Amino acid sequence: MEQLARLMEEEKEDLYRYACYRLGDEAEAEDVLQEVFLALCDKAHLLAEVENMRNYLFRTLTNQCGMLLRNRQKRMEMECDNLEQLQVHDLAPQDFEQEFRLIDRLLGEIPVEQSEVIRLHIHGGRTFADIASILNEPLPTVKARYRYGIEKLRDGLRMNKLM
Amino acid sequence: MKTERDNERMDEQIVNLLTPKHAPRCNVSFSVPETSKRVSWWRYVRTVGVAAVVMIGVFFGAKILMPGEARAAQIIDRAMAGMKDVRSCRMQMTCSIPGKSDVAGKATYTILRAEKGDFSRMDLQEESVHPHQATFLYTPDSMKVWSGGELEIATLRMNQEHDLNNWITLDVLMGKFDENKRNLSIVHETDTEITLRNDKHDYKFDYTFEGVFSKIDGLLKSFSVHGESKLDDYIMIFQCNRIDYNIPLTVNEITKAP
Repeated sequence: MEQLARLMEEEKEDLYRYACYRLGDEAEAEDVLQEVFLALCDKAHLLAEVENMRNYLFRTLTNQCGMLLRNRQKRMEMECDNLEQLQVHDLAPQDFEQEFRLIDRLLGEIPVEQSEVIRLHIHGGRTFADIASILNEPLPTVKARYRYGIEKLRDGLRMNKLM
Repeated sequence: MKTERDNERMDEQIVNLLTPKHAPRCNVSFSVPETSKRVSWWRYVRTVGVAAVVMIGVFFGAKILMPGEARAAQIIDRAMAGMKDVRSCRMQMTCSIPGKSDVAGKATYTILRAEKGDFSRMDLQEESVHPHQATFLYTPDSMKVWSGGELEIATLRMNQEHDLNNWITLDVLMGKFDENKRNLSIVHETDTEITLRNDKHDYKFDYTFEGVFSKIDGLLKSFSVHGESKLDDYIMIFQCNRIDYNIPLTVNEITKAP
């Protein structure tokens, strides 16, 4: 368990950044990290069998965030935002809240499978090989999802004359 | 008309938009919650199971142990030759720690060599004051752990080197055997059986392995492991009184949920 605590400490900035931009709430992101840690402590005796604990941490976190979002009303309200409502000045956010709304709007334009890869890569600092392991998907699929996601965003921003 | 260069530039801008510049800092710290200081013997059960497999050379092809004593070497060679046709085996083990009534249990370790690759499974039954069941399953491409009947962990095995021949624990054990190969000796002999002993030492334990080999077919019939912890004050005893070879077993059976 000391090993797990050490690993969480080492990875906490990446984990936290991912959770913050997934949930849009700093306090909630902290809570979810603590929940993940305590849940893993409960089964620490089984975790010795996990080959890549760093990726397992991320997998547990993505699942936990996904579960929270499914149960959250706030999220549903925010899904009303889309690129058409985005103004040029929104592209230069001044604080975390504005930045979260921008990123969430952008990623809301593309399929969840693609946005999840982008989130893990850009916010979680994971390599594509790590993401393949975290999502249990082949590496080429993960790379393609990233590429298609970025391309779709490019088309959307272009269409709305935001770039 | 947008060129490829224009697209690349836009993609960079998009990645830049998605890259956090106002990310909050994480103020959480992670400290291990107070828990009872139970000795986790499960992991050692599997380790010992693997060690036994190493001892008889099951499935490990060219990785031949080279005991210092010529006759011991012959016995190991013969056991390995006998294992060539073995497609599966099952070991029943018990574990106990004298003086610690809260640590005791049974383990069944099963290995199947299938067309797709090697499968292994450890079913554990803790018989302490807090009875508990757990199952560890390794297939050629996945690992699953059930605890108390619930599936707790299921992951892909991305690293192909982590097959049965190359478990990390196995590598460690092989290294230990190699370091201690001169310590392999014959301790007892009858008309039908011969007992070999191997002493190993690592930073956690001093181990003594004793394996009983049949003179008839050369195979390992039983073994015991005596482990003395260097970090805590206890002695761990594993006993395997029975090993069955070539049991009728299918992939479906070995991978079945507990």
